Amino acid sequence: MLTPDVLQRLDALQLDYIDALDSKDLPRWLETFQKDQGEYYVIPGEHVEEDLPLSLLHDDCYARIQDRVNFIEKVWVGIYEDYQMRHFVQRVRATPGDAPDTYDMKSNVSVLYTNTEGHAQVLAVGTYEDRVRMNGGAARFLRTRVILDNFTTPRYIVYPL
Amino acid sequence: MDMPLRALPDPLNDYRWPAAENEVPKDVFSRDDIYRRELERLFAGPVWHVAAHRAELPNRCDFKTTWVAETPILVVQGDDSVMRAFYNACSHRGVMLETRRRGHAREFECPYHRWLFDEKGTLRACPAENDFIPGFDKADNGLAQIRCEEFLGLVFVTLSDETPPLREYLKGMEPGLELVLMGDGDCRLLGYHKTVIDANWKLYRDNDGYHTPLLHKAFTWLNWQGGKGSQTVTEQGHLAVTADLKPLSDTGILHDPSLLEFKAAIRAGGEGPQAKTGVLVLSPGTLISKALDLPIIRYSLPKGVDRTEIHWTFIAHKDDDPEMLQHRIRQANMMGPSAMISLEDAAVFNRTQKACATQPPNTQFVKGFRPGMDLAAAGQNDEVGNLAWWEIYRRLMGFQREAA
Repeated sequence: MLTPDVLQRLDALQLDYIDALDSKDLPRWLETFQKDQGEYYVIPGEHVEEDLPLSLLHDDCYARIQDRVNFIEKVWVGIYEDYQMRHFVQRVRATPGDAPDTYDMKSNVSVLYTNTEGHAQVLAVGTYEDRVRMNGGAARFLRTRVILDNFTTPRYIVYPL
Repeated sequence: MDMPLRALPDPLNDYRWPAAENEVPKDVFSRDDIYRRELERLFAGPVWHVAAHRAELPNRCDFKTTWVAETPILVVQGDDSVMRAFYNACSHRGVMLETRRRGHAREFECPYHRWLFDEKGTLRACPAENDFIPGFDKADNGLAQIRCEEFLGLVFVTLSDETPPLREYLKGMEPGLELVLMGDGDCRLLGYHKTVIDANWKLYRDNDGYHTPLLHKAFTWLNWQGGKGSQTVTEQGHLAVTADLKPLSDTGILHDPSLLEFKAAIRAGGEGPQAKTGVLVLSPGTLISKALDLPIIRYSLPKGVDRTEIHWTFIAHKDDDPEMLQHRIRQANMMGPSAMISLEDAAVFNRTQKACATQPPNTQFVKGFRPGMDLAAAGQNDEVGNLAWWEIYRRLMGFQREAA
């Protein structure tokens, strides 16, 4: 049984995560991960079903997440067709993790996007499977796995989901 | 009195291709009637399409469903290890027979009237057979088979009886295929990146396999320097660009430079095919590349004139040790529709599609082009290699050139 305080902190972390992405504030998104430990994956749902090892985005160390932020902010400037994201998240489960002060959380997620011509459609729908560490007051992601139900994406993915 | 029916003249009969050999009309990417003619003359015509790699259906009785443009097909490895391809439709009332993407099955049963086919396409059972049309014979009612041949594990299909044998069709591409498929093509599947581009399939075909590195800012950031190499253009319009690739040096940009290691080249002492990189375009619409330690088969599946589904299919060698396998999985961050180097490609396809109805009416290939040149002599970085394929396309489609 999780206390209301823990649930409140888990939700606050998740809302901070999606608000940072929808605001394209990637340094703030990076801050939601445990420094030097966080991992981030986007995995096509068919790979989970068929037990295939590849991810769409595969950041198996914190340095990779830092590199992702750098690429978006410095290398890709002006070369991609931009879009605005809106994340909608609903936590469906949270349980204490195996290690002290860690929690496992599963949420449903949908991400709509609007292109530069003002048309919106679904970019991603699936689940977040998160592992979170509480550091005193603050919560940080140790690992985020985005499992995509829509493993055929309607466009290329620039920003993390 | 009945009026005699007369076929309306096809407006495409008056369509004219530019006289200049290095120009391609922009409306071939956007005209629906041209797309319709492609389905008939090109996709169902005398060409081989890559439908699968054995890595995607590695065991006996494994199958994969896919498409040749708008035609659904079923590829099955028989219990004799032979690859066979069928139209993916029950031979009775035409219901799509298998709807799963991949799987394992000894039998395929149509849900409608329970006709049951084995993995070689033979009709094994059909309930109430005694009530069928007199003379009905199960032996005559198997799945309609499609010509299918294999090379280095790549499973090719053709819908036409006139297509030359596969080895003849691929002539000249064998060394390139060996390079990108790691020698013997004995591969295992790592997974897919599947995405949609808002562009005609030919824009993908024309631009993803070969373009100058100018597009990729990441090349500068990563100090990516291709070495000496060559471009092969074959009679069937296939392209292979292969080059030595120097192991990338750490430019201090990446927090995690291990991603860029060229492990196979390092292990081979920087010599031989392991140290090379290659991009192949197999006509009409499949690309296969190996950059660093990352071999990828890219299927392009047309979904109408201005929409194409791309299935980036990542493979490893069956003999990879766990370290190499993990390395290839990590390196997939570099190439793909959402990856460090190739994300920007899709933007170019989409932007070109949007601008099809602009003047001048033709797009042009200029780098390395000389009037009357032998296209097979294209240099490593020349963009004229694609013109051999465009000439084959023009002829297959029956388009006359304008007088010069």
